[in-house]
Formats: sequence, structure tokens, C-alpha cells
Amino acid sequence: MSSANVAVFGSYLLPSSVATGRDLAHLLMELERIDNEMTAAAVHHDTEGENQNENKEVFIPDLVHEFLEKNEFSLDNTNDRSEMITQLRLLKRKAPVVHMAFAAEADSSILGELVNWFRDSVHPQTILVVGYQPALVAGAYIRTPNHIYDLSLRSAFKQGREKLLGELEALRGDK
Amino acid sequence: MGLFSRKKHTSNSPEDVEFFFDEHFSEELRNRGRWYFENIIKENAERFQEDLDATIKQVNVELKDQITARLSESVTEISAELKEHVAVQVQEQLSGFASSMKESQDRALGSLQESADSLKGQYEELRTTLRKSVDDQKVTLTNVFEENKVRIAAMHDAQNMALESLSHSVEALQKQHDKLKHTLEKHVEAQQELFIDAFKNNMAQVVEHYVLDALSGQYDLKDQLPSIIQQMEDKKQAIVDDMKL
Repeated sequence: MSSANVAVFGSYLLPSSVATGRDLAHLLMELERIDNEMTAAAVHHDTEGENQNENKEVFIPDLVHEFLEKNEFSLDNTNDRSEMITQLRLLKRKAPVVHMAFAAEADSSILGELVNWFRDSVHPQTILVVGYQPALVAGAYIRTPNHIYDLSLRSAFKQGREKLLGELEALRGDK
Repeated sequence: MGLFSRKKHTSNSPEDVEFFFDEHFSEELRNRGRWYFENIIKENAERFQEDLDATIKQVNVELKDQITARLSESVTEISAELKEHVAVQVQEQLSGFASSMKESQDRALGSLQESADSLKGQYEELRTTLRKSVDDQKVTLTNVFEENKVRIAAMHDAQNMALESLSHSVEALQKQHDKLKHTLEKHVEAQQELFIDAFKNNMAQVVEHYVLDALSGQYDLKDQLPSIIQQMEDKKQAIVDDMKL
């Protein structure tokens, strides 16, 4: 793979396991670690020769595997790795962000589904920032750059308040 | 016999006279004589002492009597003389005091008389002045009363007018009071309505709160996911437009 493939961050595809900004930062950190280890291993190989034990493999987590597979990247080339890291840093700065808050802790599968919907419907590089608001009771609270979408049960109750008042007045016999 | 008890026996025989009248016997006699003489002198001395004591005693008594008598006479004379002298002096002083007292009494009487006369004169002056001022005051008061009569009448009129205006003010106040009461009642009713509305709203909020509290533990996020995604689908265009911006 030439470095032309990794040159543009706008064409990067993010796997569903990289749903939040933290996941992206983790991915970047792992890539940097892998790059350092592979570079060090290469230098060691050059200086010590082939007598050195070559069974020292660099650990590559699933997160990185998925990313590489999705984008058909390889880690063999040092320049490619460096370029990839640089582009990922740019992506981290420039990726569109959606803030979502839930009434309970959202696990990775839920976040994966949500982020996939955003990436399919809105932007392929959407990143989620997740919050926790027990007062929502159920549903979600979404915040985009210029709007707020309250999809929570609390808001549904608020909208139904007039109806509730009407029912209460009917019970009182005022109507 | 004691005389011979210590006699020394000499070589001479006891029939000798000189055997008895020896030195020892002489010495004895002498001693006796001395002793007897001493006794006599002693007795005489004692008697003399007694006589002397008695004499001295007597002399003392007589002397004492004499001196006492003499002293009494002298004291009597002296006290009489002293009495006379003191009496004379006291008499002189008393007469002096009496004359000076008389003089000062006369002087005091004179000054009292003068003061009484001057007081009398002042009293007369005062009476005249008082009479005069009372007459003046009478005249002044009469004039003032005449002047004030008109003013009093005017005051009465003013009072009546003030009373009238007061009653008008009371009527106006009453009207304002009624108006205020009416407005207040209206406001109170409006406030009541507001409170009732607030109560209704709060009631809805309270019900909401309880329902939410009851439901909060029942929902699983996984179960909510399809509904969330459905709602996002409904708002998809708006989200896309917003993200594009």
C-alpha cells in the first residue's frame, strides 16, 4: 500500500467500535504505540542483525485490526504508518461531533448501532460524545452544533402536560 | 551552878576564897554585868523609843491640827476675797453687757423702724403702680376683645366651612374606598385564579414527577433503542441540515 491511500483523512472509514471521541483517541494512541514498537524493532534488527530472536511480535488490538481491515491499510510501511497517524490526528480534530445523553449507561453495542445510523444517514465520520442524565428517565437527548433534540420521556411528559391538565379538570368537573 | 560550870580547876584548894573569885569568875561577873547593863540599856532605849514615838505622834497630830486649822482659815479668807473680787468683776461685766445690749437693741429697733417705713413707702408705690397697670390692662383687654370679636366670628365661619369641606372629603374618601375595595376584590379573584392555575401546573408536575420516578428504574436502554432510532429518523433531515452547516 502506498502512502497515497492513507493521505486523505476525509476518506477514512471508522468501524463501529470507534464510536466516541475517546475510542478515536484510543485508536490513535494504539497506532502510535504500534508504530513506535515496530520502528524500534526495525532499528534493532538493523543493528543486531538476523541473529536476534525474531519472534517478538507487536501486539495489535482488535480496534486497530478493524480499522485497518475497513480501510484496507497495512502497517508494514513506516511512512504509511506515520501518514496514517497524522491523518487520524486531523480526523480527530475535524470529525463532526454529536452529543448524546441517556438516562442509563450506554454500552458499546448500543453506541455502535447509534453511531452506525449517524454514519449511514448523516456523515460517515460522525463521532459521538456520550453523557449520562438520569432525569431523562428514558430516551435520548441529542445536541448537534446548532440544535437540540429532546427525545426523552421527560420531554414527552412535558408535551402531554396540557392533556393531563385537561384530564384533571375534567375529573374536577370544571369542564 | 552555872557560874561554876566551866571553871578551870587550879592547884589551889576549893576552901580558898580566891578559888571562887578568880579570873573566870570575874569574867563571868563582868559578862553578867555587861548583859544586865545591855538589857537595862535596851529596856531604856525601848522605853525611850516608845516615849519618843508617842511624843512624835502627838506632835504630828497637834501639828496636823494646827496646820489644818491655819489652812482652813487661809482658804476661807482667800475664797471670801476671791468671791468678792469675782463678784465685782462679773458685776462690772454684766453691767457692760447690759449697756451694750441696750444700745444694740435700740439700734436694731431704729433700723427695723426705718425698714418698716421704707417698706410702707414701697408698698404704697406698688399699690399705686398696680392699680394703674390693672386699669391699663382693663382698657387694653376691652379693646382686644372688641377687635377679636370680629375675628372670632370669622373663625366660626371658617370652622363651619372647614367642617363642610371635611364632610365632602369624607364622602370622597368613602367613594374611593369603595372603588379600592372593588379593585382589590377583582385583584384577589385574579390572584386566586393565578394560584389555582399554578396549583394545576404544579399538580401536573407532581404527577409527572411521581410517574417518572416510578418508571425510571423500569426502562432498559436496549429496549429504547428502536424508538430512539425511529425518532431520529423522523428528524433526520433536520439533523443532516444542521450537521452540514
